[in-house]
Amino acid sequence: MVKLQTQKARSYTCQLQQAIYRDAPVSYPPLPAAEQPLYAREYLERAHPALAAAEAPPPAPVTALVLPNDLGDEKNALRALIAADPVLQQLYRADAWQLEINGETLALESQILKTRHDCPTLLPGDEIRLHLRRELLAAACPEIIRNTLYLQVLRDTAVVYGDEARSKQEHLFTYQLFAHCLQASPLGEAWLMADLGGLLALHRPLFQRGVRNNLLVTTGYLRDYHYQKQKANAFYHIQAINLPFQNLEFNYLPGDAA
Amino acid sequence: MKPDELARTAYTVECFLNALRLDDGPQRTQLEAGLVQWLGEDKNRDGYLVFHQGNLCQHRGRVVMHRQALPQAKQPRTLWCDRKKLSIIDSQAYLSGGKLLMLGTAGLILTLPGSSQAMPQKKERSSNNNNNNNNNNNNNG
Repeated sequence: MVKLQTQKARSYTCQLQQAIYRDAPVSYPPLPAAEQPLYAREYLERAHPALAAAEAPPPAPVTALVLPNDLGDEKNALRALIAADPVLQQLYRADAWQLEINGETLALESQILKTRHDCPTLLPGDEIRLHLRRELLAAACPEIIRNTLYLQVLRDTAVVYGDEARSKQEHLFTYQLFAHCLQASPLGEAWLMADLGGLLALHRPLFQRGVRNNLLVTTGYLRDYHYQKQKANAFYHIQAINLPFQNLEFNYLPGDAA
Repeated sequence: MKPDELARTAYTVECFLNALRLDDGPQRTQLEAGLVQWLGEDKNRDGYLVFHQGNLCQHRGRVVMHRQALPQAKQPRTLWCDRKKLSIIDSQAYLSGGKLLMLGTAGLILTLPGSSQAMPQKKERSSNNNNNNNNNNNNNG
């Protein structure tokens, strides 16, 4: 009746009820501010279901990731994407790179796929040779003479850059050696070799005490292909957001050591 | 042991003890020297150290030759090193038969506790590795 007479949606008890509640906070403790919207929505659904049904759902929190529904499809898993792409198969091969340290060889695998991780301590006098399968240089490359061994060394000191403002390992240097400059490998005709001992020793001042370093290896054309694939396939991009190349993490005896 | 190999072992053990977050001091120096010497005397080259649940074990192969408590160490994970390598290992695999399943060094702080030297990245979320890149437009080439 009051609503009808006043032409307002509020009933005459609203202000009275509010006064009663305000005057008896022990009996009627106020809800925390954060819970009030939820209660109001529950009340609306209970008392005015027609209104509630027409109401838009609350917005997702700012921190919620928005991911496509098919991100989890089997065909979009990184290993499935690799299996479907002959060039990626070459890029991610676990049997195409060998690092020889003082006569001991270690197979290098993609850092985002491998399960075993080694972190040796290297010295300036170490004999360090990188062996790669010759056929890698033909992968995604029309003229092998244009291809290079592409080597990056990063340091586990954080830098923030890029549109994502991610905290990333710091790049120390990139080294490219053209295909025709690679040496014959003692592993056989199917392999080529590059000597890395002197290259790492040259950069010794950059290696800090108690900080890991990260050597990543690929070819120039496989690296280009990786970025082309990132542009072409978002499912690949999100899973290969860190460098996917074969790697070795290592400590290097710093120059200040006795 | 050749001087180069001694330097390699000493630095590896230093990083191992740093990862345990053992403070510098006479006690640590004595421990460090003893471990380097013990590994250096290892003619079969099968000696290694494992830190697990507050205890430091000195292994020859799978046999524990010496065990000591290191209550001052602040490292919840199980760590392994030999004369030239360092890694977190899978604690369950180690407990069940002494298997050494290398998990890498991601997330370990290898600098001396309290030092002002560059701190490595802390990485806890990723199953594998390093935030090390990777858009072609912002990775310095």
